[in-house]
Amino acid sequence: MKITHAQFARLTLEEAIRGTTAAELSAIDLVEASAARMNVFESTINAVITRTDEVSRRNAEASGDLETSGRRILRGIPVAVKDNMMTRGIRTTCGSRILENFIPPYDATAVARLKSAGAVVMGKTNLDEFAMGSTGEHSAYGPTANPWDPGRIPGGSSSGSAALVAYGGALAALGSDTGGSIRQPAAFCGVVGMKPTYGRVSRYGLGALASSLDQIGPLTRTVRDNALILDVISGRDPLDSTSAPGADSAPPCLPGIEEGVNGLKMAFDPGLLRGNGISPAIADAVRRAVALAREGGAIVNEAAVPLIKYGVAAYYIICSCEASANLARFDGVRYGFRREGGDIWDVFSETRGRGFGDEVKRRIMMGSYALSQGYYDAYYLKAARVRRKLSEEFSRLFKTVDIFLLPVAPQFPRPLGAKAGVMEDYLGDIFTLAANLAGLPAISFPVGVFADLPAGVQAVAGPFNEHLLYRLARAVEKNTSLENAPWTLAGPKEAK
Amino acid sequence: MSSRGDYLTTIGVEVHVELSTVTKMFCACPNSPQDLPPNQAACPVCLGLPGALPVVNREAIRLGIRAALALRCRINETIWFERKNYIYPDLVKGYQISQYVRPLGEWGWLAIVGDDGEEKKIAIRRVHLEEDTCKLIHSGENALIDVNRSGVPLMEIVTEPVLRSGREAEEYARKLRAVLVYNGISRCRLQHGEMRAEANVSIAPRGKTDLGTRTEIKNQAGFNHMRSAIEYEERRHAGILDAGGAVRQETRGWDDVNRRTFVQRSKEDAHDYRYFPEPDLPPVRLAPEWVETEKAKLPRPYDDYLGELRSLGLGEPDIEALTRNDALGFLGEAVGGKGDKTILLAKRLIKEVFSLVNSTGRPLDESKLEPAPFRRAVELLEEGKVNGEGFRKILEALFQRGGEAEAIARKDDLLIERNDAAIEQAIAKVLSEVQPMVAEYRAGKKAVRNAIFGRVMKELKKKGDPKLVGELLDLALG
Repeated sequence: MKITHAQFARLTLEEAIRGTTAAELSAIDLVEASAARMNVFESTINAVITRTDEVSRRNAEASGDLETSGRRILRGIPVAVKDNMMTRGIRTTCGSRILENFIPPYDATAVARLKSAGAVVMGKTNLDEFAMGSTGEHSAYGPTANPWDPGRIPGGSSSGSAALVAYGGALAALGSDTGGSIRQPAAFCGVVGMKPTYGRVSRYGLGALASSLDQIGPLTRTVRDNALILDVISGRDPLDSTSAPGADSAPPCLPGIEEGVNGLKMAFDPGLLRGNGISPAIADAVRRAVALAREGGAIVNEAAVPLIKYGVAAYYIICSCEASANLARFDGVRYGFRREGGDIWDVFSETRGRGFGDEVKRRIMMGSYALSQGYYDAYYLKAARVRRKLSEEFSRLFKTVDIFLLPVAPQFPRPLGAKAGVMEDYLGDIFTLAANLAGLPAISFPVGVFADLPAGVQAVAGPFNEHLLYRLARAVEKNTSLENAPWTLAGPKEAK
Repeated sequence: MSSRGDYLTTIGVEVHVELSTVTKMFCACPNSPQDLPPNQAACPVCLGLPGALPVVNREAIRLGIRAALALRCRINETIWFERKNYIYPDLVKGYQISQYVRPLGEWGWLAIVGDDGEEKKIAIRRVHLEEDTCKLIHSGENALIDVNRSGVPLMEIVTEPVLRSGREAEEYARKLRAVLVYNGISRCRLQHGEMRAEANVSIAPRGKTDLGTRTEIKNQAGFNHMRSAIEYEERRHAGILDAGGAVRQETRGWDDVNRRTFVQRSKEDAHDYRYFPEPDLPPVRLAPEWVETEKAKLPRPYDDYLGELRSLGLGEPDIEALTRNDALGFLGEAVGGKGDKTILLAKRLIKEVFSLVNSTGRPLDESKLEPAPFRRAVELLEEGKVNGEGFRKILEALFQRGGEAEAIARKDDLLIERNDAAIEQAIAKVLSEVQPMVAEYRAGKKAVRNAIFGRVMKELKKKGDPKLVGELLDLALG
């Protein structure tokens, strides 16, 4: 049974699996519908840097993957991958000009896990250059637009993954989250985004922004689909020394997802819902989630994690320090963009000067400065201490509480191109980056639509308690309606 | 006019050693930079591709523990790695994974003979692990990069500034090399860059507590070059100070053709390495039980072993030959826990094996000869199961191709003939061929017996047991 791209966009991942298993849908149908959807939306949204539907389809056909009815759970399911994850033989740009011609010889572990589960990678999604940014505007391949309102930013840095899933171009996409880069665009685009516990998903093959903060996670339209993808990609990886033993022993996420929140202990901080430049509707979204959780039988109390307010300062120091080293390898010597110069030092500065965008240069400078002799103690070490204290605060909280609820971002997505100040964009990460600093799992999921834009809420749990977050998100999802969501549209809305 | 005698020289030495592991420091590529064509030991990790992550090689850590123990260091129970940031075309990631705050070992010592002829313990400040860089091959305007060396495990050993002369620095480096080779930590082949030394040199007027401004002399090709460079720097610094000038802190190289040092980098160009903990690698715990296990596996200390060889009666020329050929570790392994036959094995090693080394031009550690088969070959000779010629043939086979001594003896038909019937048959055959000689013998010309004996041995392809052949021949001659 052929399906139209509009029908495909309303399909959940689980429905697609059931459809192919029952042979009502062929994998080819799904791949074609996904490609057709991208044909309709991409010129407006620009969610994808490199489309791989043709090559993936050829590979899948050649290997018989699309026909055989193996037991592989994602057989023939169209997915997308943020373009900072290495894909063997497929250009991987990290959203940067400096990697405009880079074709990696290997797959990231998370990508390899998706592929070996049978998924078909349809494209490499757009992102803020090297995942630095929370607007989707800092890409060398043009900004991504928000499918709810193409005149607005989709959030970032996993801008393309969130937008693509939101308009129904793929059933799931992988993003990476260093300070909110999965959760914030998920909230802005009305989809579900999970930043797993640090060490649950292998970072091998993820172009690093900040190694101690980065984590790969799924973006999907439904909570169940999200849990399903996380169960596929998580697991210990001998190639990633920071991958945790808990990655294999943690409870799987999908099996208990319908258990509800009855008896779960939750907390939120009303203080966080005042000030912080927070939009009243965003605060309402959190209160709505609290109310729904209580209806479901959860015990929700007030609690605070006071050090969250120092998170922005600590985060931007640690992140910039690590990034300044992680990006040093892009020198034009072995691969990627290269600009000739008089001597090797000219080659370095010309290549990096022209290959990197402004935000990347800003962070390299901040990081190099903070690590310099005489400044290291005042910046890096101090930030590391704040980070440890913040982790301790969370540890204490999670001794008595299962889940901590808070906003994702203080505001709704701003208009594209209406460049806010750098500081304003950085401060917008205040609610998300705490989970990265503490290495904790955190989910962002929609709780409704306010003034034609989706509003999300964030929930954080103790290490490897993703399954609890999914139970909460699923319970709220049952009471949430996202009217006029992009995936219900036949075509993109016009920019306002 | 003051002279050099008025100054006190202070030298600290930093040595880099490539560890003899099977794989590289942070990936599974083979650690064999010389044995492969360029860029054949190259994976995403050694190429510094985006997304590649390091995984610590436990064997490199083990060799580090071994070295730290051999140098009597205190071993830190928890160690970690840092990133040392600088940009250079031979450094694939723009940083080197190294150790800074918590090295593997600290505060050890190595005894040398000081300038006053007395034993002098050279304090070792730290022993740490890191990774090597790519090899740059300069050709005309261009430089080529060989990634094979990128990520090779390196150990850095740093002394306190306690050496007083070029001679002491050279002595220290030679002794360190011998100890590392003896303990199986590195092959330390200078010609392959497996051991590189750098010296920090300063002089100051005697009696002053200030050490004076130092210059750093980089990567000398040999220990004698290091000594020459240090002595040159002593003279150069003294000349500057005598003239009322100030020594500039800088990095210098040694020009062996013109016998002088030259400026490579001034202090103004010095790097700020911006060290910070490597976030891709969790700290490594060196459990005390692990360290104890390694301690138990160490051979006896190098100096003790030399002393024992001397007390067993081995002369200085023999000891010199063993150390020059880096064979003390080999000998120790051949002797094994049994502790017997030390002198016997040493003599055979020096006489037979080193002559193979000389005739083939192939150092012992590049041959296929292993200590255990070598010992077995010597035992076969001692037990009379092979004769001298058979022994040499076995050794040559072991040296060229490796294998087991007895298997070679059997396969190449080198075992001595002890079968009475076979020997009697050979005697009967020879006697029938040399009847005139037999007649002469029986007529009283006893000297012809040796000629007849030689014919019999030849008939037996020289592998008859000489004693048995003699007895049976005398019996036949009557």
